Amino acid sequence: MPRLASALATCALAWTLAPALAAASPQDLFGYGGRTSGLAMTGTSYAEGYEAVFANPAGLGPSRRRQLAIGLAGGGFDLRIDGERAPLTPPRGMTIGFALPIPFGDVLEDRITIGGAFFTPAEALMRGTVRFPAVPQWTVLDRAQVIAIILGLGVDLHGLVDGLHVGVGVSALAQLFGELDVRLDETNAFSSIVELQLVASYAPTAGINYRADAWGLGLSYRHESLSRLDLSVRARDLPIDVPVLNVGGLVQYDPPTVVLEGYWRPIPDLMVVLNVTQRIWDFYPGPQVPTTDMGRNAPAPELSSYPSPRVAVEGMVRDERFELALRGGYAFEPSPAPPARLAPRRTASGEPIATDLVPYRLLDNHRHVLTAGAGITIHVGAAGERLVIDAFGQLHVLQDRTHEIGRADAGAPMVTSGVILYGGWTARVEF
Amino acid sequence: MRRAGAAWLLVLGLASPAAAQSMDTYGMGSRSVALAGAVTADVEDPSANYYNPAGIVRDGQLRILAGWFGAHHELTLDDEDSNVDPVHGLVVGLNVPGNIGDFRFAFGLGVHLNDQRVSRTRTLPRTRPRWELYDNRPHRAYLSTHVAIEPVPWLRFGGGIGFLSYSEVDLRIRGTIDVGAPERGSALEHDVLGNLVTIRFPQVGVQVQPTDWLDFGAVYRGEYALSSDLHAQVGSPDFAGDDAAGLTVGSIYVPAYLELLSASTGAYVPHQLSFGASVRPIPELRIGVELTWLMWSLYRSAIGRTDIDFRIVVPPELGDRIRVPPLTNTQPVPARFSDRVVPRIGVEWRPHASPEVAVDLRGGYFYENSPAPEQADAYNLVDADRHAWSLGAGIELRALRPLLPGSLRFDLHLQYSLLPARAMTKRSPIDPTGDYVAQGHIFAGGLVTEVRFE
Repeated sequence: MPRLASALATCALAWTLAPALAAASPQDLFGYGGRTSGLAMTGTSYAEGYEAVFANPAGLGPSRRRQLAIGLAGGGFDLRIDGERAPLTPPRGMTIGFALPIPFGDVLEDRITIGGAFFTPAEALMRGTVRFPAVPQWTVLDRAQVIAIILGLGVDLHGLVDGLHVGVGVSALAQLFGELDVRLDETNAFSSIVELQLVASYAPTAGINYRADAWGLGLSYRHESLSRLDLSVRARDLPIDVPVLNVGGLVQYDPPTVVLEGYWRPIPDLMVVLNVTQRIWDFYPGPQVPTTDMGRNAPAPELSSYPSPRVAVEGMVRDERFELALRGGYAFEPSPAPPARLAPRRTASGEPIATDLVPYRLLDNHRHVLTAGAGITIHVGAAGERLVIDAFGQLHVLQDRTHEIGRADAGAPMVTSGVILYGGWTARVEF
Repeated sequence: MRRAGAAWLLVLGLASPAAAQSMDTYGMGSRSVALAGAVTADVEDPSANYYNPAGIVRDGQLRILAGWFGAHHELTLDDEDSNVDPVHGLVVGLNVPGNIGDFRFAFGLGVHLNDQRVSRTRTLPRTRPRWELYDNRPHRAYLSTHVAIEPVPWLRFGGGIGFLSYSEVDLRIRGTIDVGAPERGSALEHDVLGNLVTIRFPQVGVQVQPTDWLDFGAVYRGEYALSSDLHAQVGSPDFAGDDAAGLTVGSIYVPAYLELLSASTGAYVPHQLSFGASVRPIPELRIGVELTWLMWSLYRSAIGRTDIDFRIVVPPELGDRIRVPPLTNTQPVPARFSDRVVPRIGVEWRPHASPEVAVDLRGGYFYENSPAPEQADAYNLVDADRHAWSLGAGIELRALRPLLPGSLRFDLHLQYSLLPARAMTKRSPIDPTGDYVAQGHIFAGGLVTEVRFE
């Protein structure tokens, strides 16, 4: 038993030795960049420059100037269970982005732009959490402490179809695989050999948009991105047989996402945006894995997919050297999660065991998201260089939800609710 | 004023996520490695993102670099191969210059990504010999971004802030292990909370160019240590409640509890300070020299601390089947490394240059004295001195307009490192490892292509 326990501990220790790149969720919850985040997390049809790397890499295509952006974003959670505050670490971090038109000549002139979008959380580059199933856990919202690394490439198809752009991108994640072999050494003392590998995994994105003078359409797809922690512990030479232990689980997950969006400018300085975002949660396997190969797994999460409608408006005021933009928007984020409930554990192969019901407190609520923002553009150079400062704020109101079970096994059904405040700014130079 | 303000905003705000061990050992790019890393004074290609970030603003041209790098180790102990794995992967770099009026600035990106993995760690038994500087340290990705400015034509500054993380892990396991049918009958579940907590370190550099033929440079790279803290609990200390754990032997339940606290350092890169100079006595010849001071004496320990609290209530009838071995806590063992100063020299000759094509030949040498002391005690952090010779060549194609308004370069380098024999003599005649001799060779090479837009 002590060797077994030490083995488990050493295995977890080994995980800690690997610095990680990791998953990509703050932008999935709150959007990315100073402009689109104030426009109800839209941007598939109109986003340009570094913001397009996440929203729709096709938006990189029309970029003609180099762009470098930095910013800060942060917020606070006030999530409640039966009126009592449920602690959840608020997201805070730095945004860095760039867009770089490649200055080829001839047929490739004004054709190709590459871009990057990065978000580095202030406190933890990644937070991996796999909880006991009975512990209340905000699986959808508790995904904001992770670094984001996204690269994109956009192509302007001018000359073929003016106004048409296509783009591809990739977000980088890391998954950890490892083995711990515990045995007695030549001195009959406990020893272990740990080998861990942090393996890069990539989630592709692709998009297309078309922009006419007064309107535009965009369509994008982001593939699921996930990060696993998968460690196997083998203990040999012990006085008892110990099963192979699997420690870890799915520590980060963004579902496949399809976005369809259009914008319309009834007058040149006013833009109206309509957006439908469909996250496909049906394939989410849940965070837990069986601790032993033949052990029982947590219940199936049974998440479902619902479309998220969004609307946003941007108005502009300009003179020769300055531009002022005011923005607002609304998004409805339906919860993919069923209520907390008694649910059957599963066999290691995934079959539910009807006689083994356990509490499964995977919490989430519908969210109403109000956003607002403003942007100032200052023309600073004779060659068209610009300094652009954008700021935004978001209010997420969680619609009250009554679950099937209580916080304690014998309690009354619990009610979850809450508010999320999130805001930030970015400053970018275009040159 | 607004222009300068905008540029300084960028300088102050940009940061660089990084993990830099492979660069410290094998260098970055092909030209710079062929010149033995003696390029701090005048580097201007995207490898400046490692060697001196001030160089990314030097020539005002957009540069995109991509290539491949590999290193093969033949390191032995008493002539037996230590099986230090090879390292190979992609190298990517980017220098993006800009002007706002007369104010020149640039930002840059440098990436090294191993082919097979982002990183690897291997924790060996405490007494097993390991090549401390070559076994695990190169197996990490490198990612850096920097900003540089040129306030006057002969002076450049560059820098960024590096990001890494150390880990805090809280692991809990509960349930039972069925001694009779461990695979089928055990009922365990686990809960893991892991944070990779951000740490930051700076990298700053300066280049001074008093004349067209003479350059000076200096760069500072900050220290970082990847520490790891773990708190693991198996069961409940009072053997009760939902978090209890234990063994089942038939109908007998044996409650148990284990708590483990562990802290260790997984990788360490010391403070580094480099001073370099380069001179071009004739336009076709460049000679660079450099000294790098690495403060290895601040390296505390590779062997960490472990505290274990174990409790088990074994009933008398199972006393013969379940025996608890002695468990001892461990304390860090001082590494007792020493600072080292690394001299470097690199020479580049351009035998041919025309409006269409230019050819360069390069050679370099550096010497790294080992910072590790002789391993006379039970632990074995093996290292030896290193002599490294490098050769390289490059060709630049300059007549590619109208498609490419600039040039296309191809650079190749080969590097051979000799680690001369070093005898490790143990104080104790019954040391389980015994005396041994460490030595070896490292073969490295790479091919890089670079697109430069005028």
